[in-house]
Amino acid sequence: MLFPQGATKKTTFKAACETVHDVVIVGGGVAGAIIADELAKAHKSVLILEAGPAEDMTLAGYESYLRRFYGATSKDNQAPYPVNPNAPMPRGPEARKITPGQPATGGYIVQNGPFASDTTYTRVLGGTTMHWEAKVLRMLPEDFHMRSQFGQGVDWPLNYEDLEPYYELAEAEIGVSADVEDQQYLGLKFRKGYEFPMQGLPLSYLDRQVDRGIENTAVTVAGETHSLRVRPFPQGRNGIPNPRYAGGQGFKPVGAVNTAQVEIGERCQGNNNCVPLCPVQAKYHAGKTLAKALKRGGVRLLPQAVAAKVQLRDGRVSHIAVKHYADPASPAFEEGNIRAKVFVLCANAIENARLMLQSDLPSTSGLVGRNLMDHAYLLSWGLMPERCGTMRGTNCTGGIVDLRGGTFRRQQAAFSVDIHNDGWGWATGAPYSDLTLLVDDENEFGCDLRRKLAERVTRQLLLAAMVDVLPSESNRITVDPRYTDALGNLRPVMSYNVPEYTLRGVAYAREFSRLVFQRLGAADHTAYDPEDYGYVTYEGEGYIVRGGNHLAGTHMMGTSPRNSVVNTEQRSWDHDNLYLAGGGSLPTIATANVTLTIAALCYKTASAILRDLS
Amino acid sequence: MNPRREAFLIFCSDITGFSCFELATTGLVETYRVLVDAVLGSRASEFNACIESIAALPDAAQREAKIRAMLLPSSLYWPVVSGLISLWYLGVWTQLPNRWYQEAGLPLPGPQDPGRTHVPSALAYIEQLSYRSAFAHPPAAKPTGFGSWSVAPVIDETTP
Amino acid sequence: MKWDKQQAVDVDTNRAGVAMTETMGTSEEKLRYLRTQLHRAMQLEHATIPPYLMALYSLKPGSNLDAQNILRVIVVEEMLHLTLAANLLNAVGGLPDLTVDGFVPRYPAPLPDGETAFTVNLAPFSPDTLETFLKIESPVPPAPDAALRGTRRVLYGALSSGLGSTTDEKRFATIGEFYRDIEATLNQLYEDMGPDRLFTGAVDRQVTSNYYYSGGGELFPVTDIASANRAIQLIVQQGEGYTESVHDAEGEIAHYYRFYQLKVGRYYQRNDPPDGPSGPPLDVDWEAVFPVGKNLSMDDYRHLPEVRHAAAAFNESYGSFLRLLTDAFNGRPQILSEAVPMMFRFRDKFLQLVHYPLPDGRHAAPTFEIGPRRCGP
Repeated sequence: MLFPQGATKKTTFKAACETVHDVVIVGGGVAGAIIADELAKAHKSVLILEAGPAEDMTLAGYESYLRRFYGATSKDNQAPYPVNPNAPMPRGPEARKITPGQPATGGYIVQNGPFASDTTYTRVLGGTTMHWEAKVLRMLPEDFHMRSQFGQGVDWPLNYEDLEPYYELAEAEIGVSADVEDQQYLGLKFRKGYEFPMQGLPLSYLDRQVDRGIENTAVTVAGETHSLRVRPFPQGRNGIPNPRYAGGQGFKPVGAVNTAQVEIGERCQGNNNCVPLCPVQAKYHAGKTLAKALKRGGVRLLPQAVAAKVQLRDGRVSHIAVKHYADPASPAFEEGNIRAKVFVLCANAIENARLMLQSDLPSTSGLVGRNLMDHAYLLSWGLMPERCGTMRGTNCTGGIVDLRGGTFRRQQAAFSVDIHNDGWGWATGAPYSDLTLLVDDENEFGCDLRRKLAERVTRQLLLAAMVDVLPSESNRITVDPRYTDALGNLRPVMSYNVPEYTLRGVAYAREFSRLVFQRLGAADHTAYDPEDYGYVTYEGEGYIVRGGNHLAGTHMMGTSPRNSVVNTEQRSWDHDNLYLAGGGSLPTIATANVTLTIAALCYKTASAILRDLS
Repeated sequence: MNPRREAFLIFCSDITGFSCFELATTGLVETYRVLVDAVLGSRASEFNACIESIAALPDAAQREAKIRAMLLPSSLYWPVVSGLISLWYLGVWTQLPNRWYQEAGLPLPGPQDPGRTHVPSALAYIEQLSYRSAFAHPPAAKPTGFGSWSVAPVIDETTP
Repeated sequence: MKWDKQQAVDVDTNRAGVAMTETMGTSEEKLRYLRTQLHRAMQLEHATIPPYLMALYSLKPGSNLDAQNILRVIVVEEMLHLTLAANLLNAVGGLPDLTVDGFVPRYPAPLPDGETAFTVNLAPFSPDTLETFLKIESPVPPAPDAALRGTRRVLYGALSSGLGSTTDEKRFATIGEFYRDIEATLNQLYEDMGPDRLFTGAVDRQVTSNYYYSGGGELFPVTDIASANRAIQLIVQQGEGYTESVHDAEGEIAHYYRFYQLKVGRYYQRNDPPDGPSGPPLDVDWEAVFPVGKNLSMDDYRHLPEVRHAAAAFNESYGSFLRLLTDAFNGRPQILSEAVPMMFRFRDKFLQLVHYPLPDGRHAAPTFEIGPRRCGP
């Protein structure tokens, strides 16, 4: 995918401030990229403001991410991305247990707790899709009616059928590898004859071992029986193009982005590093869409530009005050105002809320920043009885989705289970932790060490249960003038607790994993350390809950200005020419990774903006 | 090969459980030898003399016994040895504890010094032995190719 | 010359040597000639892969990213050409065989360069190596000079295929000319014989990107004169380029110009003249290269049993790979999905040898001495 040379340098801050653009988009991630591309197709003038630094997207630039990753002495999910005090981002190693009454200020996000979140997002060109795993699940039809169907959460002002055509557009743009016949469960339906762009990626050998173990197993919850099987996940990465796609036209995978032609990334190689960086760009990232948008003419990109304040005049947004810095290593900046007819915030659920609150705009609902959600992950890990080729393939190819839906959701959270192809890494830091244990604690060396390490690592099975979290007004993002970043922008302040509904789901997910290990004859090695920052208790049992980086809810969509922040097109109820796009608009997250739904909604939003402009 | 290098290679083979040939195919032997010498500073020659005396024994069982007798109990030598094992397996040199530097009578390493915690090179990451021992590969390096993850792992029987 | 003369499976040995197309009599003889040439095309496309891989894998990781990317693109395209040549051969009723003795040349291998042959080595990346690569891919002059034809050295000296080099034999100055000749023969035969008598190969023998994906562009089946011509165009355009402009209609540039960028230290931009790339600079660090020995053979490892063993294992697995490809190209394209993991595995073996320091300071390397075909099923 060719990136137009010089596109990131072409626009000066001065020029950006002097023009009245049709649309200004805050944030060069997947939401901003899709909306920009759609608007550009209709010849609108668009300016994208990106807080992070942006060189032209070249292989060399991308490879500097890879080199930083290789050179990191400990690897977390942001390891490839450089520290930038002018556009800071949360990083996993900063997470700390929170002392009640004492906000944790060590990381970018100030955390009041009580729950300590290790959620992250990535403020570089391309956004969090640079680092995401690229699972692309559609929400189930029942996920849109949680309140009416289960008496829990809220109902969306849309339903699955409304979103279906937009899901198709998103799947085309991201480039999804999946087979329809594997994805028709729990009410998920597809248009007759619908085909995904690329064929489903094969399940891993490990997936198939697990499937063999659980076939003929069923569980009964709330009186309903769910039989279990391992199913492949739809993935936003390149596989074998589907010759039947688009009525037989087929599909051309989009590989790596560069200013000159390269042939890399057109098919997944099994690098097992989806998070935090696919070394060959077989995984979708928003840079691929940005490159398209920037080539159309009419789209400008201004990097190192952090939106500071949304300003109103006569109830409409007149401009956004922006701080533009010359050098990530220096806090020196110039300020200016960016004017447009329509403004779209695409900076993610936390940053959108932060910006709105920093702007101190009046809000009819009072809900900006509230209802923050992130999936709660419960990890369980064990050793399979035989070698299963762990540490190969994508991070995750298959899982158990049979408990994503059901009557039990009246009482407890649903969940989706990932089978991790990368061993216990996420839970324990394997294989580094295994090696350290053997060498430092057990004084092993030589052939014994090699053998013991191999025996452990190659049999590791990690089950990650992604548990539904309901919206709760007290889970929120606020701002506080005491906490600022290097440019003087306010840092997000998070107050968050895991709802009891979710904890019930977490507890059940733990029981479920025990059952699965038992069926597989796997030795359960799960242990939750009470000193861990994510430790929670429920009904006398302890668990560790991890964040999923699936941030949502902070500018929820709804049916009226009193019960929500945006309408179904993600337009602010209170400001006619302001859109807040992204995870923040989702009223529920259920058990679907949020990016596909975010992308789908962006197509809806783009149509609405075009209507506004005509 | 010069005797010091050869002794180092044999010693690394004994402590990692990978053959001399396997270690040589990483292309890292000399890099690591130089690194360990640099960390040890003025204590390098006595450590190397120790290693050479171990490597001189022709029998692997004898060498293991000598490692256990001479190095394992030593608060000076064993941290270096376990650091070297971790370096081979993980591609990271972890800075030795301050009390080691005290006992060795050496200055603490500065932020650019070889003794600091660091990844010596991209090759060190790529050739780390931990994943190799598990018949796999480090994330983002040496992928096994589209679809390869769906078959049983290939155990490489061809290396001696 | 280290070439074994061995009968190619798809062609009868023509004891008189192969005459030029214009003087060949029957369509049958021309068809035999075409199939022979297509077999040689496969050999030729393959023959550059080991030297390009040697250069690529000699680059130290974390360095020479531009060179790595350029070499990788080129290798990937050569594999595409090899597969397209197999498709062409299958289309006209030939039988691809990558297991004949001598399919893989012994290196150093001579290739034509106008009046003389130049030598292609298995060698690490270096200015000399780059010069050789430029020679391999050097462009076809727009109008072939008929007067010089008779005096040029034989291309076939470099390739086995069982045809002797007689004075009657066709001579080509460059690889591009070689393909022009194939193109001419193909189109002539199409006129003489018509599609039904020419394109006799079963369609299910054709390889498409469904079965094999290495990159390099669209892998398409060859089923008629249009797709056959397209296949040849693609091979030549990606290699030397038929035209004088650096970029083709899709903005892609030929191998020759990709290599030239490395020599001059600059990328081409659109509308640059061939000798003057004006794009962003690219960096080459000639020192960040493993000191791999040139044209190493098993004999060089005679005192190093472990290296010998590893080199033999590499040659064995490479031979298996060629057998797999042959099998796939002879009616079982679906088994090519196994080729991909195989390629990644012998990449690992390749790198293990390249990392290995020999006693004299050079590093080891695969020798590509691929043994005779085993008998049996």
